[in-house]
Formats: sequence, structure tokens, C-alpha cells
Amino acid sequence: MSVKVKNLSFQYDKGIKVLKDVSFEIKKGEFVGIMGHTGCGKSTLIQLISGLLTPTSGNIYIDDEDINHKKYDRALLRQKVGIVFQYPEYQLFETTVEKDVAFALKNNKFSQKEIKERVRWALEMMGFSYEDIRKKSPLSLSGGEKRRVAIAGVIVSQPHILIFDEPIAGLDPYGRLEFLKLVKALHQQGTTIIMVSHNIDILCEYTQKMLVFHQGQLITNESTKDIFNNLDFLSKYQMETSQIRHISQKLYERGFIVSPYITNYQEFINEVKDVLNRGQL
Amino acid sequence: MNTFIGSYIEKKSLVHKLDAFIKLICVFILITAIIMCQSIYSYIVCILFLTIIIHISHIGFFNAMSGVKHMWLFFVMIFLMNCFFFESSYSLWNWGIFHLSYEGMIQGLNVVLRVVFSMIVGNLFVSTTSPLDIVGAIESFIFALRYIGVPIQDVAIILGVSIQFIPMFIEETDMIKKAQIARGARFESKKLLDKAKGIIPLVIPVFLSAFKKADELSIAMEARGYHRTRKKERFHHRHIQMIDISILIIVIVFCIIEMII
Repeated sequence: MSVKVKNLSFQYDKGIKVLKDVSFEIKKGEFVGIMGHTGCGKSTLIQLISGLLTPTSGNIYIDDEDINHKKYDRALLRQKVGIVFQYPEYQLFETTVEKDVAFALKNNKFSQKEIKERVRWALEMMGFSYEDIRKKSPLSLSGGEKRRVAIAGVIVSQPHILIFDEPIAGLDPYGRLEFLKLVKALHQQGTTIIMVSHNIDILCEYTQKMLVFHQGQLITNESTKDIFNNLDFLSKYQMETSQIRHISQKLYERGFIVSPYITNYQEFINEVKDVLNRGQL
Repeated sequence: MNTFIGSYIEKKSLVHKLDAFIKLICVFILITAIIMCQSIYSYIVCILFLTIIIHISHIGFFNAMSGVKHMWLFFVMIFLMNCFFFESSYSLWNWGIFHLSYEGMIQGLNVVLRVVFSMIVGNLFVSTTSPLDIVGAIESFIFALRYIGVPIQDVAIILGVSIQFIPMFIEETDMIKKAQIARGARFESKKLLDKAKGIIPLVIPVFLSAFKKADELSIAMEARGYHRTRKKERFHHRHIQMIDISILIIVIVFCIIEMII
């Protein structure tokens, strides 16, 4: 369930190089974030990994198998790698939620019984009550619900690798939180998660590792904590660090806390609790 | 990134600078000239003329030909139908209702070449004229119809908006297609039945989003004060310059030459 990318380059017909010699590895069960300015090649990269585009040069290995090899079974790839595009609600088309979610399974010829079980699992995973939702038309749902149904339609084939492209765009704060909870649950079940996002706070909160792109090149591939503590590096590429990192910097400068190197919420809470326990405030 | 049929390519060239209204007239004259093509010589002159326009427009040969490649099946069909069904006194080969004739082949070739050339002219027009200018040009063009009660501004805005929407829909279709492929849809399948079934997950979302976009656009237009009954003030009035007139004359001369040879 690992993804290995070696010397990957991609260019469109017209000769614009979108990705230049990119190499990295994502291990099984990791939660990886991808960040970069608009047009840096993030979307292209995830489409390459899910086999929707073919690289100009270089290789992509999923479970040590080259996915662009002639003999590689594409249908297997579709089951292994799930991709949730930006605004996934646009892909809904069936008359009932149940049918729409089952679409991927029907394409792969699962038995009726298994389809039913998996659809139930996926919908419940996405926080729906199976019996209530199954007969509804996807078009009658609200925006947030539509998106969850669409995501259920992707996770229903239980991919080992799940890719999200800007999944929280257009969700309200509550929907966002709910959604991230679900992603976390999937991650805890052993799914490898790759998430493209512009939201630094969320990347800091959830990802373990980051791939940062700049003009088609991979400029860093380190732990999330290291990247968002490296302020010089971030400012060099006009990127920001997390809110929490800013706050802890200010608190550190005023002598309230011991270390400014705190990037996420949980760590910050722990640090503040420590300080309170020691009675320094 | 990708350039599609019907998208504007921003460059600085004589063709781009040409007044959109004059350009549209030129398009009609050129298409007339293309339809007039009969002899080998007229085709050669036509190819030369089109090559020169493509060259000075700076949009590149590839862009000018966009869309032609995808229609190869249509061209083959048209050619074959003309070959076999053309009413001719003398046929080379007969089989049932099929009559292969020399005139039919010539006719087929004529039709195919004319469609290809017209497509190139069309491509040249839309890729060198911004959508807004196209609307303006069409509006001027149908201005005369106003006197017989045709709501010209409505027609012009409908045409303009449709043209603007084309590249966006192609892009969106591409995205939805990818999303469905990732869910295991088999658009690549060679089997006809699978192909027909496969179109549903693509067409329904595209239609839904088209209606949604149209709805949003109409609200946005109204919010910005667009009203059908009110006379729209133009930002730019036509400034037809000497260069426009001379180009028009060149195109007319070309058309006359095509008619003669």
C-alpha cells in the first residue's frame, strides 16, 4: 500500500512542464499533506498517482508495481486508489443515494449481498443512517450531505490509498469538523491518506508529513512539524505557518511558554496545561 | 493549459486587432469563397491564403486545426457516402444500391475539404476574437433585424454567453469524466453497449451543472443591472479604420478570384 514516485515529469501537449523530476515515497498508513501555490502541479500529481494521467517520463509504483506498465490491471488500481476531487458532489447522477454509492462496486461486479453491506458501511462511515438515506434522491440533499454521499461513493470500494483534492472548500465550519473526523477515522482504520489543501491549520492538525511544491518541483518532503517550524524556508516561498505557531511565538517572546516550536492545537493545549500546572501564570 | 475549440488565445497580431464586426464579415466572405472552390487551382489558392492568415495571426497551425482531427470519422463517412450514392451517368462499380463513381469521389473530396477549411476559418475567428467582441460583432450584424421586431440584444447575449460557456463545459466534462473513471466507470470500453451505458454518469452531472451555472449566471447578470427591456449602452463604439477596410477589400478580392478560377 505504499506509493513510490521516481523521477516523475509531466507536460501537457503544448509543452508546458507541470512537474519536473519529482521523487518521493509515501509509506503505508501515513497521512500526507500536499501544499503549494496555485498552478504548482498538485492536482496533476494526484491525477498521475490515481492513473488518470500518464507521465511524460518517470515511474509511479503502488505496492511496488509500476502502474503505467502495459500489463498492470487498471481496474485493480481503481479499487486500490480512491480520489475525491474538489467539489465531488458534481459527480452524483443516480436516482437514489444507494445506487449512486454502489456505482463503483457495480462496475467491479461485486455480489448483491456484498454491495449492500459495503454501501451500508460507507454511508454509516459518512455519518448517515442507512435506512433513512438510501431511497432519497441525491439531488434533494443539502450541499454538505451531497458531498458526504459523493465521498461515500469513493470509499465504498475500500481503497488502501485515499486522495483528497481540497476537500473542505465550501464547507461550513461544522461540516468541516465533521468531515475531518471521518477522514481521521478512515486513517485509523489503516488507509493511507493524501490530502491537497491550502488550509495550513488543518494540514498542521492532521498530517504527519508534507510534500511542498513550487513551480512543478518538490521543494521539501519532511515532517509537518519541521516544515511549519522552518519560518525562513516558508517565507522564501511566500508561504505561511499555522496560527498556533504564530500564537506560541508571541507567547514565547513574552515568556509565558518554554518553546515557540508548537504547530498544532493539541500540543499547544498540552503546553499551556503544563505551564498552568507549574503555576507560572 | 489545454486549449480547446472555441477558446480565445491572447496574442498581439493584425488578425487580433481587426475590428470584430469586419472580421465576422470576412468570415462569411471566406466561407462563401471556400464553397465556391471547384478546381485544383482554387484549392491551392485557398490553402495559400489560409496559411498566410494563420501565419500572421500567430495562433499556430495546431490551434487553427483544433477540432478537425476529432472529426475524422465524420469526414470519412461524408466521403464514402458521396462516393457511393452520387447520382452519376457513369459508374465504375455497382453493387445493389451502391454506385461507385468518379464524380462521386470528387464531390466527396470537395465536401470534406470545404468543411475542413470552414472549420479553420471558424477557429481563426474564435481564437483571435475575445468573447465580448464576438457578442458585439454579432449584435452589430443583426442590428438590421431590429426593424422587423427581432429582439436583437437577447439573441446576441444568448449567442455570446453560449460561446463563452463552451470551453468551461469541456473542462468540466473532463473533470467529471475523470472522477467517474476513478470510481471504475469504463469509458474506454470498446463494447457499444458499455459505451452507451457509460455515457449516463457523464451526461447527467454535466447537464445538472449546466442548469445550475445558467441559473447562477442569470442571477449574477440581474444583480449587475442587466435587464432585457432596457437598451444596453455599449462601452465601445465601432471605430472602423483604414486597415479594416483594406483587409475587407483583400478578402473580397480573394473571393472573386476563387469564383473565377
